[in-house]
Amino acid sequence: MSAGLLERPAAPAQTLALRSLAALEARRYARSPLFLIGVSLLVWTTTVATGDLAKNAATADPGDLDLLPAFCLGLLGVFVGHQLTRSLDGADEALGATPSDRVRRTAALCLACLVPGVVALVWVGWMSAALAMWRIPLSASISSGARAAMLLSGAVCAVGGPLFGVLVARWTRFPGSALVAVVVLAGWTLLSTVSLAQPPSRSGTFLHLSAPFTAWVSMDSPRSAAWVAGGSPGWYLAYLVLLCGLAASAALFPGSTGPRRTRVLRVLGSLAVVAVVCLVLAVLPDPARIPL
Amino acid sequence: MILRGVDWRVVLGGAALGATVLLLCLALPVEGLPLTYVRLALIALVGATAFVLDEPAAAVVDAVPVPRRRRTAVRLIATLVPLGVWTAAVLGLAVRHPQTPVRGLLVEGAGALAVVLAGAAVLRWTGLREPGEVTATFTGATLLAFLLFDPPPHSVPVFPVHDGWATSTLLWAGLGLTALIVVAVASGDVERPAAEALRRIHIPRRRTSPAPNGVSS
Repeated sequence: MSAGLLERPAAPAQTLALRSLAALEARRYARSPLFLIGVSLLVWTTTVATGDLAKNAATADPGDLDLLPAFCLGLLGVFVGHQLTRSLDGADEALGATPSDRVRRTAALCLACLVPGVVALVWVGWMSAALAMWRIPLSASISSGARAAMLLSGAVCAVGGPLFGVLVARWTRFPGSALVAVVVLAGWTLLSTVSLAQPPSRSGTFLHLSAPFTAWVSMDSPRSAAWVAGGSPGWYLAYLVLLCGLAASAALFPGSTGPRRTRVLRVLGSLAVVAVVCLVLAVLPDPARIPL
Repeated sequence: MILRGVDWRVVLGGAALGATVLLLCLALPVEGLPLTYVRLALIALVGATAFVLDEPAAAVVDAVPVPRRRRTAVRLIATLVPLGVWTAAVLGLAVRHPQTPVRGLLVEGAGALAVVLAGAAVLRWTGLREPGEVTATFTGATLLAFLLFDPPPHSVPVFPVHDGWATSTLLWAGLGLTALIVVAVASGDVERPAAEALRRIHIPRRRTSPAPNGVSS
């Protein structure tokens, strides 16, 4: 998608340049210490959580483990994406004269954010294999399609976090903006859980699902039975993918000029409209909570 | 003079973000104590504190060189802003929710701020003039991980909710005291200030031999 936003003339040469830049950025991403810490944390937490799944079948569902890639790769990825983008700022003057302009470098950075996505997809594959191998009891309240969508949401968050980091680094100049972005993301997610403490309603589901990450299984108190929140995990997944597209397009906006800027604006507008439609479709199903 | 070198935009901005979240905690119509949100605000305050020791222009802020320990002592005044926000918010929470563990939260906040200062002081001691960004990133990410995952051992909870306040307070008090000692130790100048200053002074030498063009300088 990012490649499509670039200038049209001499497309093959530009695509080749973008591909080499993206490969370079992907290598930088994969070598980032914070990304490696995140991957280690993901492996450790997954090992612990998979062991606990069989024990906690009444209060938890594997679909809710999407928190692991969302935090370890997504939230930590905000820092990685931000740091990689900022590290290029110093080279602006030197790179200004080269064929690689700012927009193409940002597009390459956005493509490099697929690195944690690949790791998260491997994680989804591992979780599916573990569920089948160890015959972990699964609740009938959640269909296998919905559970897959929940797990894949974690993988999309793993891409969305770094993209948000790139976006924040492109739009802000003050030190500490990465931590502010992380606090805002975490705050938004936590605020959306307020609706889970209220009786089920469509407006409550809207507030719950508008956040860039959501937990589907909850309970009224530590001693009461667990339930699954209302809404469609499939449409929520589509909404998250569109949020990623919005973040990437908005990151490309600052350096773009002329017809390229118009094209980015058009893409931003279209993605925003489709994202709202997907969110509405995710909220439409019955908001009633289903016992796990 | 040294306080002018503090990046007040970041310190006040981070403190304002923390204060906003804390005000929301006071205003939210929730039954219990919104501890998760309160701790999220603490992470913002910790981020603000991480930048207090940044000194990109340490050598030129004052006309006379000032030892690092004194600079640190003066810069610590800036930490009163996030600490003040935290104290005021905890006292406000105690009025709104009488069951608020005031002592536990105050020690927790002071301990977290001291830990981030220690991290910044150690990085600065290793030669990094602006340790704020790195310290804020790693401390913020670590605290957030503890907040969301609540890792074991649960006998000594880092962020207690129902039980374990006494052990947690002991933990934060110990961490805070250790961190303050680390700040004091890491704030010493690596070399004697006078010798360092002398070494940096460039004294042009008088040439004794004539220059190639025959004009001596």
